[in-house]
Amino acid sequence: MKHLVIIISAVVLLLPTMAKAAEQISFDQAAKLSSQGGKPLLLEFFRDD
Amino acid sequence: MASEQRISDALTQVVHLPLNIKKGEGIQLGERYSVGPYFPVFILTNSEGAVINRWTGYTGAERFLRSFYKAMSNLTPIAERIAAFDKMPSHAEALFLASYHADISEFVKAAKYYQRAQTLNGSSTDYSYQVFENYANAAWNDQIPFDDVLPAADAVLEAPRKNLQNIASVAQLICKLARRRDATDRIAKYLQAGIAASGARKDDKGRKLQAELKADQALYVHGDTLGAIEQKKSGFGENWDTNLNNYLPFATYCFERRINLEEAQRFVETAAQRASDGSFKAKHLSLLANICEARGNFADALRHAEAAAVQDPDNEAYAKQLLRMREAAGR
Repeated sequence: MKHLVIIISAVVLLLPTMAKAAEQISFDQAAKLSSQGGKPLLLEFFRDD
Repeated sequence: MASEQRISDALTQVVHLPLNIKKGEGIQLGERYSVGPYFPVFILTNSEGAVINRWTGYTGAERFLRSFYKAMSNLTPIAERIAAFDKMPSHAEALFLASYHADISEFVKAAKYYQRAQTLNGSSTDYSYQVFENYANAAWNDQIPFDDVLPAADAVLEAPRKNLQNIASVAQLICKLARRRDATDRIAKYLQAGIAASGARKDDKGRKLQAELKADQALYVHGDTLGAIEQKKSGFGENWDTNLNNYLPFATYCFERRINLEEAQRFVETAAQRASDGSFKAKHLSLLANICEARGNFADALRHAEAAAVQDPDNEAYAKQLLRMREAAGR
């Protein structure tokens, strides 16, 4: 257990748009898009065995 | 506007990269960003990958959007915010950096930022509990010795404006931590303070908490195991054993303290038989496995662990428990 105090239930609900993402780009490609578009990167880490 | 549309609109402001922590570059990036055990984790970075902000969990569109727009309101990378804080500290930045460091499990740093927040804000807000909570998490994760938590616990007890709920929580947490770190000989004063504080609450929750703290006082301060068991039972109210819902928390209390395991096993066996299938039954079976193991009955422990994993196959804790017990049994 990581936290003594806070036990967050591990509910995995991905962003709705995630399901629509047909193509997965790499981190480097995302970083390039971010730099070109002047937008920050939002990394969404999820777990799917 | 539908929440899905609002999220889609929000995401047009960023380059959104979903990463499976178990596959591909998600594995390496998860390590790089110290993602931890709870998901999903959102990390906002600049195009060089420097962290701007992060938050954990997706419990609804509103909460996600709140976290998202809060993160987007200041795109300065964390490293720069820390450097700026060192030159010109402010109360708001101290709180932000405290919360950030707690999220990445750097609990001592988080505690120190809360202490800075306290200094910067004077006496108008009391952060002693947040300081304690982070030191307690640090000790729980073996980052600091148990004794290093005690000054922070003392500060909550001695805060100018006594917060009874915080004092009771300190007693509960310090007791849990002391059990883990084999330091139950140093918690008498926190239990006493917690008993007094929880006694001021007149609701059912307060009564149960006080009974538990009194039970722990009997057990750890007076060495009175029977007294502890009676105190714990009394917290459930009269005829407590006619309500099956009380069996699991009672057995859990006994198991966590390694006392009264025979009776605890009987109660949880009865409750497990009648529990509805699925995660509720699995909870009982998993505890039953642990109690059997603690009593040296490894065959039954394994059998119950297997049954728990069948009842709730998606729960990682039961899979881990089963694996551990199979390894111990050499299977």
